[in-house]
Amino acid sequence: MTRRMLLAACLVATMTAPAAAYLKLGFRTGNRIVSISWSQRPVSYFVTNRGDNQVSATQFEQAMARAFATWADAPTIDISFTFGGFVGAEPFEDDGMNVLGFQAEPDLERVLGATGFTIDDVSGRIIESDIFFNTIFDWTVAPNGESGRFDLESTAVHEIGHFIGLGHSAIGETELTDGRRRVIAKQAVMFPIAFPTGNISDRRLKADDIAGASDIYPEGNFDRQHGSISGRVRLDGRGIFGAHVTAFSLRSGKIVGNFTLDDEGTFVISGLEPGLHVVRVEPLDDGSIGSFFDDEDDVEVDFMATIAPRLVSVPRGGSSGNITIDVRRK
Amino acid sequence: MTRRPLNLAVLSILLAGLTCASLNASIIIPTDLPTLVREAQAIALGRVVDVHGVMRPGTRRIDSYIVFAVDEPLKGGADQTIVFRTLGGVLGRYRTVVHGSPVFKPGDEAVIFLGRGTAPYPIGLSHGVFRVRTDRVTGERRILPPPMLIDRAGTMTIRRGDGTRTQIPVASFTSIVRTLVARRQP
Amino acid sequence: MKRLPLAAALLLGCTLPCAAQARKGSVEVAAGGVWFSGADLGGSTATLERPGGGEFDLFTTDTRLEGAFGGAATMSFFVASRLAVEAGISYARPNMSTRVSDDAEDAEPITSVIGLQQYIVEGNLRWYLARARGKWQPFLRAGGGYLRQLDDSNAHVETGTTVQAGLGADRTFRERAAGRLRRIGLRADARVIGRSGGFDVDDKLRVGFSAGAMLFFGF
Repeated sequence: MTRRMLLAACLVATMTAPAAAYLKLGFRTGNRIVSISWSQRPVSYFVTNRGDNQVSATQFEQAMARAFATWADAPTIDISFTFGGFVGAEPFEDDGMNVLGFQAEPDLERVLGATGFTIDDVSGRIIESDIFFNTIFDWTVAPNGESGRFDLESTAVHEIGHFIGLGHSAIGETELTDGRRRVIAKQAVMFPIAFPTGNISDRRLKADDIAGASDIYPEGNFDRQHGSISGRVRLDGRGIFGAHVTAFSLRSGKIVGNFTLDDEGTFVISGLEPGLHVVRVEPLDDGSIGSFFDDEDDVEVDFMATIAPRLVSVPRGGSSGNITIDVRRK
Repeated sequence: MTRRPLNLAVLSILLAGLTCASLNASIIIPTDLPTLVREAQAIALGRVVDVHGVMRPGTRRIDSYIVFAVDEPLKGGADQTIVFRTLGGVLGRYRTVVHGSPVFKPGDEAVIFLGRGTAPYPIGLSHGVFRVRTDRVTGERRILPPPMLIDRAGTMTIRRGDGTRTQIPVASFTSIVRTLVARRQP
Repeated sequence: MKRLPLAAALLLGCTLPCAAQARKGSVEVAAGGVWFSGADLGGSTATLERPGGGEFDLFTTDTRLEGAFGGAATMSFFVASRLAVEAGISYARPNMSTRVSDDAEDAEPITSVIGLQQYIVEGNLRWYLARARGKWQPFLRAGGGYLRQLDDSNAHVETGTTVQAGLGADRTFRERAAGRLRRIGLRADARVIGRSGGFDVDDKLRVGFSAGAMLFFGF
C-alpha cells in the first residue's frame, strides 16, 4: 500500500512539474530533467492549404522547406524531415499531424509565432508538433527580405528549433530606442527576440544553435569530436540558479551558452569544439527572465558580469572537469 | 512478492498513456516600460489566488485562467479581482507548456500589465509581468524593474550585470508606473 | 671570392683539438635546465552579428604562452669526431594566459590563465666548430621534435611539431683517455624554436627562443 501511494505521488509530480526552459526543452520528473526529442526519422510535416494576404500557400510551403533544410543540412545534426502535403487542418488541432500554418492571434499582439507539442511525458518523445505564424504581422518570402515585413523563413528557422526540442538562447544584446526594445546583435537564431523587419540573418544557424541541436540529435562522430565544460557559479560562496554562462573558443571564435540549472549553480555547456575557451557569466537581469525560465523567482540576477579567471581546456570527446566561477554582487 | 511486479506494470501502463499537449510560444517583439504602460488596458499590483486550466474547444491547447486579487490598481478599473489568462496550463492529464509565458501559482505576487480582451493575456507574455521578490535576508519586497530610458528620444544599450540596475522596493516601482500612467492622462 | 674559402677554413679548422679527435664513437649523456621564452599568440574578439551584417564586440582577448623554466636531458652519439647525433627530451610547465578586456557589459578586465605541461621529444645534429674559443668548444645544433602539451588537469592533450636551430659551447672540466667516464663538462646553448600545433589559438608557426645549461658526461 505504501508503495502504491509512493507511485501515485510520483505520477502527480510527473504531471505537474513545470517544463524547463533551457537550451534544450524539457521537463522535470522527480530529480531528473527529461529532454524532449523526436525518435523517428524523417519527421513528416504538413502545411495548411491557405496563405495570408502577402504569402501564398505554395510560397509558405517553400519557405518552410528551406527552413527545415537549414537544420537538416547541418553536418553534425542527425535529423531529417519530409513534406507530407497540404492539408485543411489548422495548427494545434487534435489531428495527429505536424501542421504548420498561418493563424490570427490578435490577443498575442507581440508574438510572431509559436510551436506546440504533444509529448510522451515519461520518455520525452515528441508525438506531434504544430507551428503557427501570427497573421497580425506583415510577412514576406522575398529572397533578400523586404522592408517593413518579417521574414517568414527566418521566423520558421527559429520555430523549427523549438519543433526539434530547443529552448531559447540568451546570446544577444538589446537596446532601448523609440519606445521599443530591439536586438542590436545576437549570435543565436534561438534568441527569443526577433531581428527587425527586413532582416534575413536568422536564415543561417549559429554555433550555439548547432551545438544545441547536435547535442539532442548527434551525428555519428559528434560526441567523439566535441567536448563540454562543466562547473559551478557561486555568489557569496553559494551556488546560484539561472546564471547565463557562455564559452568562447579562442581558436574558432564560436560562442556557445547555457545556464546554471540548480541551486548548486551547476552548469554544463556541451557540443564545444576542442581547445581553449574563455568562460563568461552574466545575469538575466534585462527584463526577460520569463523567456528562459518558468521558475522565475529563483533566478539570481543581482550580480555583475564576470570572466572566469581560468582558461578552460575542452578535450575531444570529454569534459573539462569542474570549474568554479565566483561572481560579485552588484 | 507477487504484488510488486503488478504495481510496476500498472505504473508502466499509466505512464505510457501519459501524454501532454504543450505550446511553445516563441519569438517576440518586446517593448519598454512607458510603451507597456501605454498599451496596457489594466495594470495592477496583487496576488494570485487561483489558477485553473481551460482547453480551447477542438484543440489540445490549454490556457491558464488566473484569478488575481488586486492590492493596488495602477491603471484601468478599480476591481478587487481580475481574471486574466496565460498561455499554457494543466487540465487533467494534459499539460500545455509555453516557453516564455509566465507560470503562476496561488500566492504569487506581481505587478501585471494586461492587454486587451475580456480575459486578457499579459502583454508580451512574461514581459508584462513584474514579480515581487522577497529578500531572503532583509525580508524586503522588491521588484526588478526593466531597463528604462530617462530621455525617450535617446538610445540606451542594455547591459546585463549593470550595477545601477538593481531590484527596488515595490512602492518605488509602483510609483514609477503611476507617474508614467499620469503622463498618459489627457 | 677569396674570403669564402678563408672563412670556411676558419670555421671548420685545419686541425682538430685532441678532445674532439677522441670523441668519435663515444656516447654522451647530459642533463640540466632549460628556459623557454613566451610567445604572443595573438588577439581575437568575441562578436555577435548585427542586423545589418556588421559585428558587435562582446569582448576582446589577447593570448600569450608565458615563458617557463624546465628540465632537459639528452643522449648523444658521436658519428664523427665533430658530429654528434642527439636525442633529447625536455619538460616545462608554461602558463597560457588570455587578457580579456573591453567587455560590452563591463565585466572587469582579467587575465585568465591555464597551466600546461609541455614535453618536447627531439632529435638534433650537433656540429662542433674546429676552433676552440679559449676553453669553450662552440657548436651548431639543429633538429626537429615532437611537442606534447597537456592542460593542468591532464584532461586534454594537444600535440605538434618543432624545428629548432641554435648555437652553444661545451666546456670540458675533466677529460681522460681511458676509463669508463672520459669527460665531464658544461654545455650551454641558445636556440630559436619554431613550433606548430600544441595549445594555440590558430595554426600559425610560432617562433620563440630557448636557452639551456647542462652537465654532460662522456663515455
